[in-house]
Amino acid sequence: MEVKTNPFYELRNRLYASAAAGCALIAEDFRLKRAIEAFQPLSEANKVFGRLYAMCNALLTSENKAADIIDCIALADALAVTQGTFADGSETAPVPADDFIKPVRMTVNELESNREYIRKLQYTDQSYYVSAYDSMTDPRMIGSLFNIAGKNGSGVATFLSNLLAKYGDDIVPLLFQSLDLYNKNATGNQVRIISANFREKYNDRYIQLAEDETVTANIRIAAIEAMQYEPKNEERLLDLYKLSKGKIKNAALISLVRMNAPSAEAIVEKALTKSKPDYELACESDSKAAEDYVRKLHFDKLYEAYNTAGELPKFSANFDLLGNKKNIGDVFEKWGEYYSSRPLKYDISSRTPDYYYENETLIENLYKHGDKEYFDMIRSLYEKYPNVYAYSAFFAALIEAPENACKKICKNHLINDKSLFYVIDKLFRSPDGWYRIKKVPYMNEDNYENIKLFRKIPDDMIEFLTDTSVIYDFNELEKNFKSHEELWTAEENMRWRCVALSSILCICGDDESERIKAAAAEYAWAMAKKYPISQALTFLKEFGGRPLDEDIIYNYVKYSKITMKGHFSFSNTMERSDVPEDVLRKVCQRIMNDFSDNSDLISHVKIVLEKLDAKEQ
Amino acid sequence: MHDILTNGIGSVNKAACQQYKGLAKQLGDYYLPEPQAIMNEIIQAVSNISEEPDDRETNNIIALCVRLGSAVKKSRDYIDAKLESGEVLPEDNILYEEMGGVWKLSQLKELGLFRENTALLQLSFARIDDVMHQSFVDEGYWLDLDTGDIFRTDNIRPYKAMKYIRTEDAKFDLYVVQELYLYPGSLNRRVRWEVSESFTAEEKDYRQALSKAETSISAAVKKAKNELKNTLSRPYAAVLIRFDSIEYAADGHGVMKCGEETIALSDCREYPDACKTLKLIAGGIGGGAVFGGLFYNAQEHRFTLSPFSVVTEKDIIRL
Repeated sequence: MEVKTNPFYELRNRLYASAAAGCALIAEDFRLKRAIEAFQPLSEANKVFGRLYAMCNALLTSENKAADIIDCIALADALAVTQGTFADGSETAPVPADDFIKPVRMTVNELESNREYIRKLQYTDQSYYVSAYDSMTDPRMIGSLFNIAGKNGSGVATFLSNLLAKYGDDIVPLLFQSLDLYNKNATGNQVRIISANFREKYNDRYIQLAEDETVTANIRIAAIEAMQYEPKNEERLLDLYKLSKGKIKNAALISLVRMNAPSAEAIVEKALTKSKPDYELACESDSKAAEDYVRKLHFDKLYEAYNTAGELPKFSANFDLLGNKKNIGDVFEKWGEYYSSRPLKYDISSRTPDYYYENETLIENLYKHGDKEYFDMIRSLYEKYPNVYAYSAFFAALIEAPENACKKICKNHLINDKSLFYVIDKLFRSPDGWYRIKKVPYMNEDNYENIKLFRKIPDDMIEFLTDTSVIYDFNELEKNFKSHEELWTAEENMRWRCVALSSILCICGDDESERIKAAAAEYAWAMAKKYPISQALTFLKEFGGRPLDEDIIYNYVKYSKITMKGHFSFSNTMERSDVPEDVLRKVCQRIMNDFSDNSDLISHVKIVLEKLDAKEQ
Repeated sequence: MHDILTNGIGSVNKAACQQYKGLAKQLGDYYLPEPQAIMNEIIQAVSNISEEPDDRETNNIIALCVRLGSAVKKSRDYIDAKLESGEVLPEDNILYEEMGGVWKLSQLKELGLFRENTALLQLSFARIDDVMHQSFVDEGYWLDLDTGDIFRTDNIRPYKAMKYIRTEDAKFDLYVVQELYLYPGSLNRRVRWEVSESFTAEEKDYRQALSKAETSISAAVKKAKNELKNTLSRPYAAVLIRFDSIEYAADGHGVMKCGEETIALSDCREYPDACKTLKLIAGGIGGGAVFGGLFYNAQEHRFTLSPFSVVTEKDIIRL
């Protein structure tokens, strides 16, 4: 039945219209009357249609129109259902199969938890949640991925990095699909993370996005940045530079500079001769003009340094300028020479390694380029100036030969440990089972890069972290060190080993945890005897293998009171520790005898004894 | 209802809405849950009506009034019949529950509304926020592997009593139910059971499920028409239909093909993203059966299918 001209549907529509207008007006509703008349021929063909016709006729003169119209509409609706069609004549095409998508069996609770985990990533870093990663192939999770993929934040960055590590190329098409191409607020971060991991592999797609002027600017810029990895893109980038304006033009230029395109050299040279030279170009470029410019800048600074009495103000930011340049090793050497000529200093104000910015530039080269020349540069600098370039040397050694990196670089614990701890702290384990090193402590939309290192924590690293030769008796610390800075550094070296071991135990695989726990426990026992900090006691409580003895507890109390290291609560610590009650009583008695003048401590001891008495009762 | 139909939708104002809310409350006080729910829907629709309502809005309100009118009329006839016959015990009639009755399993058993040793496989599961009934419903659809009947379990959690009632979740095993109690109804009857054994579902069970699917869209639509023509029916008929392929039109909507027959796919409130999810896997499934709801669209005078899951020879893919 043709819907538009069908008298049945027209009658049904009129019944609805009359009801909406109010039955009180039905008597004057000529449209309804007309529709009923037009329906009459159809009513003769079908008994039920006939019944509807009769009911509608009766409605016109009914005393109770409201009730009767209900019956008419109810019957009309029922008839409409029976008349309903279902065919869809649209032109259709199949969709291609996506090998990545594999449904995962999940309850509603599991699905909601996984979705919620992903939703929260944009607000905070979250610990690794196996279910969320394993379920990513399920089509019901794809919407969550699409919602999050373009967002900023360290949680998102870590999540995407882990996803790529787990699924590799298979997830890349989805990441491209998640791009909201025409939304002006889109970040294009998906392109950045793909290019950070796969470089030129998806070059065709980068070009497609970069050259499409309808695509939103941020995504185009991310795609232009990604084009730097393929030298054949030079012409296209040059066209983009010439024909575009603003940020897109600038992005094209930076990419040309990063790929060391000959066509960019003249632009860089010109930019560096201006009264306000372009700092970004100077940092990114490896051209002769850039090299000469930064060499002069640094040599001037070195001259100033040699001729300045006292402390030279930090020259940190300008070490960026030495990045991305293979022939600038001589400048690093000059700085190495300068720093080595000055008295050795222990910077106890910060955790970052000494000569941080100098070394960071060298390390950045390894992330961005990884060329042999950059490794050689670090190696050569370390050979000549080991105290200055230990940080970058350890980083490079960890990539090239992790099985003995710690032994090779750590020649003096007081000087070198800080650098090693800083690097080790950036380790993480991706879902594919590889240990990797992040560029920054917390990944974000500007820093997705990481370098794959090894599948098992090297014995060399465990030996370094559990080296008991660094442990000093806290009663004799001052005898062993000449200066307060050395003493402080030695204490930090002992303490940071516990912290680093904790971090490694958090990230290590199940197949390794027993080995690492056993080594950590040995170290903790040694610490507990001579330098009993609370981290060591916590270790021992978790996997010490045997309860703490009286001397260790007593030592801990004495250490805490003498050194006054941070907050100390005897009762809380005792409750947390795995101490047998009889041992605890003996310790309490000893403390009451030896520290009778320390009322604060005695009151804590009394609380512990009271709790023990209450338990006995 | 009488007021709205006599004077028209234009006569409804805020004061009238307040009056209707009072009436709805009274229906609740007399424990007439279904009429109360319809009344609440009418009040909601009238409150949300725009300044210049289109046909869809006004027709929706009229349809609700008709539904309420039919419910009242049928309930009145039901009660009159009971008074005449003097038979006060419940019988196999959906009106018993709509008029506030609560079925006990023993009553259902007495009326013979049960089956023994029924093998059930869950086809889909959803948690539904039933605002009109002021409750959450954990709704599962199950296939009787022997007869091919599709049943429904509803774990109803009223808002006020939510913390006292445990939520249910999706099930993936094959359940063999000792005594399966059936509530009155025709298609997609509600069921309950107390004792069952569960077994890991195997490929033979999924193949058995596939064998129970309708082999043509027209057969499924015919079943749906029979059900949906009743004024007090649920909004859709849950069916399992075999398909050869699922393809997509230029505007992005899906079309399921079974032989020469086709039907459009659309989302529904209970499974709002199902079509999107299905599109992601459609290219990789070469045939099977779609389990979903057949809805009648009164504006377009046609049926569409809202997919809830896809049954294959190896598994049931929830959407």
